[in-house]
Amino acid sequence: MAVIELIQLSKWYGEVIGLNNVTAEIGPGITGLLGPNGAGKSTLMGLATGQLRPSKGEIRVFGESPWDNPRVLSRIGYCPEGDPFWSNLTGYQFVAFLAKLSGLGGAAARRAATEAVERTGMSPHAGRAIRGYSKGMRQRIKIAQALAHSPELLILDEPFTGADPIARHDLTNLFRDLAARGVNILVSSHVLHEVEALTQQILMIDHGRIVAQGNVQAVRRTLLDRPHAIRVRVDQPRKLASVLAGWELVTSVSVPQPDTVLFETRSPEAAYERLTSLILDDGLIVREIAAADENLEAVFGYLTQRSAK
Amino acid sequence: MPIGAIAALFFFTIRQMLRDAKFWAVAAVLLLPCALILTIRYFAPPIKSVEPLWEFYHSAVQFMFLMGLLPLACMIYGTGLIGAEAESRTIGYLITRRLRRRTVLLTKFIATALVLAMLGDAALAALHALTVTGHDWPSLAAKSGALADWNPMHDLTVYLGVTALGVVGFLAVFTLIGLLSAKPLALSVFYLVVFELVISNLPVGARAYSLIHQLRVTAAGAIPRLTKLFQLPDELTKRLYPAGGSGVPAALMIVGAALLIAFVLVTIRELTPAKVARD
Repeated sequence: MAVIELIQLSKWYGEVIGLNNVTAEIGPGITGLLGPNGAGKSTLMGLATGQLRPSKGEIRVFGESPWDNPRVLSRIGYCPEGDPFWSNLTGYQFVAFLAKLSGLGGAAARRAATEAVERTGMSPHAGRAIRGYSKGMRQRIKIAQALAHSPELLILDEPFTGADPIARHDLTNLFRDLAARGVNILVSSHVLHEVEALTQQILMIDHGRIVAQGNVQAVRRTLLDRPHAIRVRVDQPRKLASVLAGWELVTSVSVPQPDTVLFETRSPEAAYERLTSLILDDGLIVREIAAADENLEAVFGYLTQRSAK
Repeated sequence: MPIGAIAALFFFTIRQMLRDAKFWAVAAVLLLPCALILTIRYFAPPIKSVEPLWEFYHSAVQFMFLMGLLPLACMIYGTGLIGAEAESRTIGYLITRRLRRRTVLLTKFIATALVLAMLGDAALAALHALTVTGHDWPSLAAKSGALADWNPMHDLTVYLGVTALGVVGFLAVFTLIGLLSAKPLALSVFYLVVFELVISNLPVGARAYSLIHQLRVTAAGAIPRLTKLFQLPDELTKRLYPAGGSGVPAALMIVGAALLIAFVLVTIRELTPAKVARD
């Protein structure tokens, strides 16, 4: 059964669209929420944690609306993006206070805070004021407060931002461990591989719309269909361009700069192979071969165009 | 009712207030009349009768403290009761837990009102002590007329209650203003100047909705001689400040109405700034 249900959900801020008529089911398990900045990830998380109200449609968490609903909210642990802190508190005080606010009694809250701080590797720093924390420490203490009251659903907004590689590894293991114990997790990121390391279940959004959903392998297969742009810096660009124009697997060719050829293909692997042979046979001096649009923004752009069609 | 969570938020609010530099700035502002009294007592010649002392004391409390500094202190805290948490985005932690939004508001309101009332009463007690102590009372009384029997302690007791009522009233109104407007300072200053300072001094029916008027009615009801300070025609004085009258019920109605609207607003409105919520 889905943990979060989005039913024709829309959210707009004046004339700006945050989410646009989204219908989806999220969970159980770990779900990665992927999208470039401004895609609507935080809007979705704000709606799921009852901080925002839908402009249209409905959102249900554990079968109920989360808006001003302590019954639902007490089952959620939320780690916001950015730096919202009472920075005069120590890390431990911050976690213990929010554990109490989640309904734990004094002793239980202190125990839970100690445990959460330990699980996030913050024990050595828990006695220091948050204002002196590094970015990575702040991320970890936010995660500690989210999981201190043992929620059934963790909603983590960009939890890896600012974390160093070791912290990322530790946090990934922590989230996997929590998921293995039955905690549902919705984690947002704009970096595909961060999410891939955690889960195979993803939801990709862009401009407030879902552009891909489901198993990450299936999404990757979808991505293989898109035209790939390849940039070649070469000493004889016009000669290379005329050869490429005759290839069936090339869909377009251009010479954007005096030393650069840019072409698009739907079979990048075959194109790379034939390109290598061509270079060796014709004696072209190649300075660089690179994929021109492998970044995530380009992927989202492609998926958005595709879904619009 | 999650009593533990409410208690945690209550004590947390007090703790954060006391640790904030703003609290000490507000305390300094509320103590300004004390500084004035110290200056006057240092430079002015010794007084010879109770009358000037009585007039100065009540003028300082009425016109400086209750009409100016106390509303100002409440404005600073009331408009930021939810707004400051929203601005720093910490509101998200408070409204995504076990407490309903209106419970968060009410708990923070009570904690803030308690601290401000204690601070206000402490400032008032200091003002009182600096004004009335150190005089030769039998000698002053012997040279005084109608005010020879003035009992400053009685007036202090009345003012302590009036101050606490004022804190609750002004804090409720400014909390509401803080929820009504994203930039509440202009609206608060407008309310303070137009409604509490102008309309409250006009002989019009609308003054009944002014907290300052109701505080005066309460004080004058318990300290009848106070009406002389307002220098109004006798007929008007009798109408506006009836002997034994009390503005407490009216003030509490204003508080109730302001909090009720604030509860509705905090329950139906998003508290996260749109520019932050949007991603």
